[in-house]
Amino acid sequence: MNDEASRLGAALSSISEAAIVQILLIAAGAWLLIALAQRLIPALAGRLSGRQRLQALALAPVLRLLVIITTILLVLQRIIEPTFENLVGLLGALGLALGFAAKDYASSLIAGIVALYELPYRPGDWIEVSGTYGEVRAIGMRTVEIVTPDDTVVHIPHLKLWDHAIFNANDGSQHLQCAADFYLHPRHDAAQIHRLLYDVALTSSLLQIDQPIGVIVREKPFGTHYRLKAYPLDPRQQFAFVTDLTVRGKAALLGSGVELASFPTVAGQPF
Amino acid sequence: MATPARTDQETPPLWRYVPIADYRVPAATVEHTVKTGLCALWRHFQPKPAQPQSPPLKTEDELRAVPEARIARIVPAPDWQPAAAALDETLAGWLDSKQPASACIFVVSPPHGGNGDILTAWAANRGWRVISPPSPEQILACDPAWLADWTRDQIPWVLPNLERCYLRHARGLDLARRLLDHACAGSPGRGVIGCDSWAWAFLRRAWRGPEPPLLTLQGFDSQGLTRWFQSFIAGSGMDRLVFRQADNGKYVLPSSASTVEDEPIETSDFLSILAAHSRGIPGIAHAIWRANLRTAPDRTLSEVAENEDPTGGRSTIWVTPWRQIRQTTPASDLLRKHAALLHTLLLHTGLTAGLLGQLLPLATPPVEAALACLEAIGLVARCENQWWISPASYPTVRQFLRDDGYLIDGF
Repeated sequence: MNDEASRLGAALSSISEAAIVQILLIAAGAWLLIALAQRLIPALAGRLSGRQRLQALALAPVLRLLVIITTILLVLQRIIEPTFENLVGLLGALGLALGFAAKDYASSLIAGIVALYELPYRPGDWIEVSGTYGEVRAIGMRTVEIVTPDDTVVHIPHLKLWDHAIFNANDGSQHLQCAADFYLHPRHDAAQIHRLLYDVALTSSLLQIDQPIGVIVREKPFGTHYRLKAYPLDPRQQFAFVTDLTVRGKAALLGSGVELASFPTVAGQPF
Repeated sequence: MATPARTDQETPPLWRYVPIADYRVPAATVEHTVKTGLCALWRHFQPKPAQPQSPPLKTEDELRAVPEARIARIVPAPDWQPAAAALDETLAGWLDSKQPASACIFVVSPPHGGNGDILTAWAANRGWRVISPPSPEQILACDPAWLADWTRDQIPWVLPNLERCYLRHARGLDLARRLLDHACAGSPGRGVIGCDSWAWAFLRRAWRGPEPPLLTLQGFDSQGLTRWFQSFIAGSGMDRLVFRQADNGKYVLPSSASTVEDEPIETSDFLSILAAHSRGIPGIAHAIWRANLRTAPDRTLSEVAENEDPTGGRSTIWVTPWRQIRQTTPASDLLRKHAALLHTLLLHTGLTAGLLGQLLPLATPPVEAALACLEAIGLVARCENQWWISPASYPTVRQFLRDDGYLIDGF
């Protein structure tokens, strides 16, 4: 072991100035490539729509990983002779340093690579992590960047992957289910209301019509709860879609003479 | 490209009704498909259109639109009587049958296919009564009187515009569902229902009845368009016209004078591209053809000299090259902004601005302003308070809506 360490030390100390310049140039080139990809790909994806947009966005993190792996290989070649012993020594030393000094940082980096393989989220996905919901805008090396519906950018470390539930609403597709809730006075024809709410969803201009429409009915102590579930054309339209379902649903219900449930009370007291 | 030799084989009829499963959309040439694909990709990322590399034979500046009176003779409004005759021939077996398998036949056609006019003409020829669509108020109220008025008698009937019997509104579907249930059950007697293909695509998802017999007018391929446009010229008394592409002089519309002294002449693939672009829909091909005919300024068609064709004493009508027609494609951002409006217009084959406002989601831009903006760039057109997708822009709008995941028709 001492022998290997001294050999690695000797290899590292014998790096020439030319090699250092080359390493710097390679690192700069890699940084430039990654920066370009991070800016160009989302810009180009913005000109596309639907599935094409999601596919284009997914290219950015994969491209970055390829650039990083290539860069590491090129740099290693210039630092040490790439024998098995040298690589084990170098990686062991790096692992020891990272394990003590930047455990969480390293964990996030590794989780970032796992995220590219397991795909718990992709750019364009709508995810919820630790109570934060939003659209994945970019997947960085250490964090995933999401934009909430209130237009706030949140950076979530990839290490959440290890011990937190990741809720992905559309999972790389265009299909994101939305729900609009209606609470009605219990005295009504439930079958008629079921059909009416189905038509409310079917006639929405924002509906993805080939996906199923669901109307769930539940009786509550204060009235009947209708949950209308359907898919918008584009996940980004989810809030406009729910608004459309709610506004038109309410108008149709009131037009049919159904009474909406009032604030729950029990014998004159708040429920 | 040499003009194909004429064969003595019997040519298929120009107007032909086929079961909907047998409908074939005319295919574009491989060269045009590749060019179109590359141009579309380029337009995504490059707002400025590419300039042609070689100088054209006739630039757009050297030409002017053919005067209205003359264009009305060269490309008159379509006469749908031959199509009505073709429909009559197709339905002969059903009409003769005492106990037909289905009391009701559906004729579905894409927008600008002349379906309503053809069915109305056919009903007039046959002496069948034509059912007028209900008013929007009757649709929203699901008025039983409208249906009862014409379904109680067993008199043969034609409903040319099923697309006018529903609204994409929570209360706008029940009347159409009842109508379809009655018609397919045969209770109003024997009848023919015409429907726009977009409305039919939507109604098939709103109505859960069995698939009825569906017929459609087969679209025109390049040969069909050639024959149709030639029939206009033959009937105009101006059969000394030749049609050449403005940029390269190639002949667009072959005529009896296409070959002189057995010398082959170069023909353009304009009509093949037009057939594919218009998806074979007669009204769309007609509108694009009519809008892109040009003549040299200060020359009447009877004059020769500059306009004279080398094949002998014929006057030339110049056809705008396809490349220039395609350059007028609107930006995808604009289409995306108004996609719901355009889609709603297609599903209803035209609407008034007031009704359109009731059918669109809250978040869409104000209807009047949006329609004015879209009219300015030729995407929509108005006729008697009804707003339509203009024929020339229909292929572009359809393509965009398909790419954006909207429900589209099957044509």
